[in-house]
Amino acid sequence: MLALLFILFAGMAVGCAISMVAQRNPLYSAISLIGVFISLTCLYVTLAAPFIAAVQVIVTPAPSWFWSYS
Amino acid sequence: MVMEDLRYVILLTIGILVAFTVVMTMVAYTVLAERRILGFIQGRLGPNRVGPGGFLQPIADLLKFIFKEDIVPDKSTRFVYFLAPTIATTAALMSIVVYPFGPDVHLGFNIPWIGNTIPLVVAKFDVALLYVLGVTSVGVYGIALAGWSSNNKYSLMGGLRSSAQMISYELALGLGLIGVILQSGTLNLQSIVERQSGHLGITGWNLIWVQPVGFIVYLIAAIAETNRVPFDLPEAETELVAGFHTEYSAMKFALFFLAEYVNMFTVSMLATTLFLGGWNGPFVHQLPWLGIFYFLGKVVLFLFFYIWLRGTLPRFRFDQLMSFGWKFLVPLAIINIVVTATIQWSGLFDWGAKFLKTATGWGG
Repeated sequence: MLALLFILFAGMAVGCAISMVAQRNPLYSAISLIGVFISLTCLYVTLAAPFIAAVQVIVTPAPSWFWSYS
Repeated sequence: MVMEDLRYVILLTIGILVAFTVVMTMVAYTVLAERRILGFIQGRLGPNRVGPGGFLQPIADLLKFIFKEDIVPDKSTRFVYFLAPTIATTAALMSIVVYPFGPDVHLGFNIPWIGNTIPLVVAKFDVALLYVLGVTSVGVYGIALAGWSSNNKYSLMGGLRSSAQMISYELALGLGLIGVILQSGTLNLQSIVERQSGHLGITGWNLIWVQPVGFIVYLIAAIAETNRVPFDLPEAETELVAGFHTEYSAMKFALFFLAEYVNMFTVSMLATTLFLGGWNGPFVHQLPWLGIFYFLGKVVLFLFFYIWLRGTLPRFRFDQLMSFGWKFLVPLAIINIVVTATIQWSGLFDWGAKFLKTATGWGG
């Protein structure tokens, strides 16, 4: 069960990370970055580390600073 | 092992479904209540034709939303356009699971599979407060992406305004809560509520004893965070048509609408949990089910306050909004944190609580 979840979220994280580097439009890069953050959060939850997971969710809106203050 | 997992998943699913149904019903009737109360404030009737006193209006609205034509603008960015309302609704709904609706109910008998204790909270989570703050702040993406993907200048303006506003007030919101965290010494919402049970479940509230300033900062920041009047600049009708959701129609618009009201509901629940003693109230320890009614009753008070503000206040200008957030609320919250930390460090709270408890039987 945990192994399945790990494969799912690790795959999502790697896929989103590759897409983040490969995209031409910066906004798609930002969306992919959010995907990476969310999948990392799920990985932390499966590792039974809720505090780090919560902190990871809190930094998720960070990319939105780019387009509101630039 | 698998059996145990399965049991856990099934119980969790039942809990989520119950909490979801309760919140959704209350949200639907909040919309109706808002229209009726606004009507009363503005000297007109409001919707009163569908069912007795307009009681079935939410169902009629839902049917109308489902059967309306779904228009997608030609030049929009399809994927992001469809993603945005999903993000907004999901982020709004995800925080419901951690709020304690009541204390643990101990039954006199065993229910098979469940046991003799029913917890009135879906997920017991030690860092619940951080989780709530994180998840609600993800909602800004829904609005910002909706504004960007509609390919409409007004929508883009609304989305940008919204992300700037939500990020700014997020800070004040979090800082306003730090006083409560310092004073309770935990991030677990159930423990924070239990700490506030004073005499008759009323005198121990954080609002009364220790955090009036934190409460005011949180309340104002929460109104800005949910984009409600007087901070509804992202959808200012007179300037931006309808802001970020100009290009959305039918059920996708309904999802944004829903997200706004669920957000309003969750910030009210957080305010109730942290400042108004959550499910605490008279005789709640004798009759644990009363906790649900106290909790939801306090939430309804907050919702009424929101609607009242909407009916009576004009909208801020954008520079006023920003300077109010950064130059007034944030410094006020920081001063509150310093004062709370100092008093907490000096042991004055503990001394005062002990004094009140021994002298009058009050205090937490």
